[in-house]
Formats: sequence, C-alpha cells, structure tokens
Amino acid sequence: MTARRVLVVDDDQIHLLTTAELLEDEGYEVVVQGSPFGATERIMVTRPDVVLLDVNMPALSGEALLPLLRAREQTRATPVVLFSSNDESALRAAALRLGADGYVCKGDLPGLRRVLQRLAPAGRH
Amino acid sequence: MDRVGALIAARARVRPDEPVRQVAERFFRDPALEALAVVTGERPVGLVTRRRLLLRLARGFGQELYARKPVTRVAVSDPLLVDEALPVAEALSLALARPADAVYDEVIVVDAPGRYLGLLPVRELALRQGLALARSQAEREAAQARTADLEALERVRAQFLAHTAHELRSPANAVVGVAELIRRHAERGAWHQVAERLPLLLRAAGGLRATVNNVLVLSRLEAGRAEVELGPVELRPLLEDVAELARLLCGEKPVAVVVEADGLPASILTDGQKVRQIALNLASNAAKFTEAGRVTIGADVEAGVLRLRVDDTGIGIREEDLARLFLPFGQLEDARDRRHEGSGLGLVIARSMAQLLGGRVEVESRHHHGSTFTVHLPIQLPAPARPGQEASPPP
Repeated sequence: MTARRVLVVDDDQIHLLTTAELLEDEGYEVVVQGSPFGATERIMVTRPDVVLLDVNMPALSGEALLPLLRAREQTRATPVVLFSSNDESALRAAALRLGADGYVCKGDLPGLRRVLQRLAPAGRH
Repeated sequence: MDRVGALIAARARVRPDEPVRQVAERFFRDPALEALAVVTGERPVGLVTRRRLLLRLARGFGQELYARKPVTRVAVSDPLLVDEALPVAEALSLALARPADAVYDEVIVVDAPGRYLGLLPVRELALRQGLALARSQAEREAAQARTADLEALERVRAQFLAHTAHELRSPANAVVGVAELIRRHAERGAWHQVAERLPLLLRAAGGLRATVNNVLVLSRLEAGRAEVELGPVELRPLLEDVAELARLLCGEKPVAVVVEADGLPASILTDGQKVRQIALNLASNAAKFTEAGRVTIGADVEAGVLRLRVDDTGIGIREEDLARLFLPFGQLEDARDRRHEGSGLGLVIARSMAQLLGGRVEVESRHHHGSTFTVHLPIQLPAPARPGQEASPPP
C-alpha cells in the first residue's frame, strides 16, 4: 500500500518541521509549505490526500485560504484540516462551518492521528 | 429617601376658639399665608385654608353667618395628618387619595406622639417626589454607564487572556512536539538525529520563555507593581549591546544595524534596566519587520530629556494600523491579518516602561518605507564632580 500524502501549510517553522517529521514517523509522506502563498499550486502539483492548514498565517490565514481552495476545480475535492494553537470549541465549530473537513489543535497528536485516520486511512499501521 | 418632617413649610396655627373674623384678618395681612392648623393642647384638630375661608365668607350672608363664630366652624375637621417620619412618596400618595375637593389641602405633619409640627403644601410634596424620581433616574443612568465601562474592561481583559493563552500555547506546543520527536529518535538510538534536533528544542523553549517573561513583565507594569531604580547609566555601551542583539535577530538578512549616539554625556541618571528593555524591544521589533536595509539606533540628550530613536527601512505600518500598535497583542487583533511571529507585547511593554519613567513613545511610519519610534525620557545628569574631587563616585 502506498503511503498517504499530507501537505502541511504553516508559517511557524518549528511547528512545520515538527509536524512533518512526526507524520513521516507515522508513515505518511509529507510535503511542507512555509507560506500560504503558493499553497494552491502546491496542492495542484503534489496532489496530497489531506491538507493541514494553519489558521494563523501572514496576510492569508487558513480560514481565508480555505474558501479559495474550495472555489477551484482542481483543489475542491482535497480534504482540508485546519489547525491552530487555540482549542476553543467556537473555533472548531467555525472551522467546520467554513467547510473544513476537520479541526485539530496544534500539539494534539492523538487528535491529528484520528483525523488523518478518518480522512486518509493508511500510514504504516 | 426624604421624610416629610424635613419639608415642613409653615408652622402657623390657630386656637379652635378664635373668631373667624380674626383669622380672616390674618390671611388678609399675610398674602403668603395659605393655611393654618387648628391646634389645641399641641394636637391638630382641624385645618383652615385661605381658599375655604374666603369662599365661605364670600357666599351670601357669609360675613354675617361666620364672622363671630369660632374658626372651627369653617375648618376642615378631618385633615390629613402624617407622621414626620413618613417618606415623601407615601405622604404624596395619601394626599392624592383624598376626595377631589380636598386634594390640594395642606398636609399636617405631626410627631410620633401626635403633636403638631407644621404644614406641608401638596405642591411641595409633588415637587420633592419629582426631584427624587429624576435623581434616581440619573443614578440609574450613572450605574448603567459604570456597568458598561466595567463590561468593556472585562471584554478587553478576556481578549487579553485569550490572546495570552494562544501565545503561550503555541511555543509550548512547539516544545512538546520537538521533545516528542527527540524521544522517538532516542528510543531508536538515533543519537545523531537527537543531537540534530536539540537546537530546535532550545529555540522552541527559548521562545516560550520569552513570551512568559513578557506576559509577566507586562502584568507587573499594568498592576502598577513595577519599581523604578535610578542609577548612573552609560548609554553608549548599552545601545551597542542592544544593536548586537538586533543583529542576531536579523540573521542572514541584508540589514545593517548601526548606532548613532555621538556627543552623549558619559553617564545619565535613569533606570538602566528599563531603558535597555525599551531600546531592545524597539530594536527587535525593527529587526523583525525589516527585510533589507538599515536599522538605526540613535540617542541624544537635550534639556534634561533623553531622546531614544529606532529607525528602520522595513515594511512600515499602515495608517489604519497605527492606532492598535500599542494594544497588547495588537498584531493578533485580527488573526487573519497577522504578519509576523512574536507575541505582540514588545511595544506595549516599551510604552508602559517609558510611561513609568515619566516619558512617552512616538511613532512615525510610512507603509512600505519604514518606521521611526522615538522615546522621550526625562533624565538627570549625575551631580558634576567638583575640581579636585574624584571624577565619579565608585558605582
């Protein structure tokens, strides 16, 4: 079975690298993107099974980017999970209302594992 | 709440056996006299009002019928008596509950044992009650305004807490994430990988410590618990030091950090720690927002004021953003629009510290051209050494 591919979009370098490595360790193939600009093209080129999108990003937040992805033919179907350091349920609800396929609080590894298992069941396990 | 006893307007009285003619004379002599209480042995037994008396006398044969009779013949025999301790509102409602022809009769005020104290016009009662209502309305409005202020303050506080929580959680999550990675590598004995990731862990932990420090410093400042410690400060080395830290922050970026501080006094009297923190916060802010060009840290002293200036060729600040520049986490005010990492507390702390030292911070900026922050701080020069003495006291 081929590894599922996850694209992580986050401007926080430490978090980007950490998440990427943790996911690789879980058996995912990971592509990283350090800026929201170019994320759309990145999705079109790398065709990930899931996109992890940071909410707090320079100039273009995940919340703002998500509708743009949904509006495009080539990116519309790709599942998107929003994540941020905030674990307020209001944000979670807002993310789902926006059409995100999931919401994960940064640092919640079991939560991330669960949502990926749901959206891209694979990995090593 | 007002009591009727405090409002007594007149204490006029008449004996029950006084003839009507004599009483009428009193009313004719004194146009201000509106009513008299009929009192016997300190007890009010009736009320004579100008209106009633004149009406009686003006009727056919009035003079002849009443002039020589005792005043009790023309008096109201059952006037409204109220205890002096009765609240105005209750007295008024009792007065207004009387039959229509008696509604405007004066009210007789008595003390607890029932002795006559004085008269109270209904008009006065109504006026007092109106004032009381207006006052309580004003009080209610003031209370509402106070509540609104408190609610606004509470909202700001809640927002601050939410932002603080977010700002603490981000680096904390980074620390946990990197630590988890290192644990996995260590478990496999991949010591090279562990060693490679330790600097990342330190960086994440350093970021967390910086945010925690900032939040603590700010809460101490906001709570008014920060203290000023004055001492002689050598500015030049302090600024060079700050510049060095700013250079580290600029890293690989083509940004020159320079100090312009010629002609400064050898030392000044101020709180060195705070001046250093102010300069550092402004300089690191400049370093963070400048991709290329120059960050200038300048200082001069004139007329007892230290002017500390940090000038950059960075992205600048849009005019509409200037207002929220000094809000805690102003950078985060709208997360959608957040441009750079950092807690957004540096400028707030710099300004609070400047204010603590009796100074202020000014900012000028042009979007895409750069920003200039200027701090004005009142300072003193150390007492000049007299010739023949030691140049300066040992620190």
